Amino acid sequence: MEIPALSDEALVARARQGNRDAFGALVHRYQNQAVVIAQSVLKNLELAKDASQNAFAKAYLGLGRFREDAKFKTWLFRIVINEAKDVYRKEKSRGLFKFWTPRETEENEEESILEIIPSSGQSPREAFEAQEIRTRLESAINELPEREREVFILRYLNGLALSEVAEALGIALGTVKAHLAHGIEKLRVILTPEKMGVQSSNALRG
Amino acid sequence: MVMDQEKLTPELEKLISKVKLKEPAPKIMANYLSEVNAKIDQGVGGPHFGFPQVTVFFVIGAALAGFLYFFLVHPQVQPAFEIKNASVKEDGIDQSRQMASLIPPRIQSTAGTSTQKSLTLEEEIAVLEASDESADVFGDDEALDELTVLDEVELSPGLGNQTPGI
Repeated sequence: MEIPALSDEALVARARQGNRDAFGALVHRYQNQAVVIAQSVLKNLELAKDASQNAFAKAYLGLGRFREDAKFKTWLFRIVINEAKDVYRKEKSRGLFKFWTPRETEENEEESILEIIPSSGQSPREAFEAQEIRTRLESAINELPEREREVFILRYLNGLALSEVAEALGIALGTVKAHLAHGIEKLRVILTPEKMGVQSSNALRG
Repeated sequence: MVMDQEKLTPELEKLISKVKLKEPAPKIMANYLSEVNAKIDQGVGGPHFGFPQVTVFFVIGAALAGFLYFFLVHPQVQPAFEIKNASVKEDGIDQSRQMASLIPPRIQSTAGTSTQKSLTLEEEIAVLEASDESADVFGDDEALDELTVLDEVELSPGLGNQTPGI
């Protein structure tokens, strides 16, 4: 069996014995998701890439502490989130000394974490409205408190199961559900059809 | 109790179904694995100089500066009471200078000679001879007194040079 076709467990077992190719296969398998998760915290692709690479390196060096009964994916995502938060804190404290930097420049550095799923036969008007929806949804998600935002993104945009979200964030399943419930309620209030605009809501109904 | 409230509403579900998390472009991810391997080889981040390191640097620097001050600079600075004593001594010196100014010059020179360096034998003799000569020229007070007395005796009536018939 070739290395890329092996399960996570088999790859982790080989990587623990120092097999870099096995670990490389794990990196290749989760690199995109890792960058996306880091980007949802940092809102900057370059920083997200660097943080996720640090997380992979830490994961490799910490494989000895990895419990075999745990899922590698959620364990890795937990490291990615912690690393991204660490980078965020450092960048924030470094930003204190950049008082001469114009605020507009900093805002422009925030990159979008969402993109529209392309659909065939979309008119220019529909494409425009879809972009509008993306912008509104993203700003609504950014308005959520940190924990609720993390839980929502991991559950509904990364597609993790509730138990995986709990494991990745290191919190109880009930806490995840509570955060999700609060987050969804807030999004529902923020994204009312009136606030979304009549045209966009019509597009949604359509 | 939160029961199934963590599930999306139909409206939100419809919104979410139209978007996904933006995946990084393949061009950006080209050297991803090799960069991860490089980080593993150098121990993740390599040497780092962040806020904790800066704090430790300043604390150690301040401690060293304090140490240097107390052990090198501080001993040279006189405490307040020592300065007070020194000023008292200086006052005493001024008073003694004032007293010295009141003492006649002769006594001063005599007093001054006592504080001079010890002279060699020849020098002492020379000084003594010089003082004798000066005494001969100017005479000391006792000798002058004696001479005055003798002159008076010679000049007094009935003691020699008396004019006959007076």
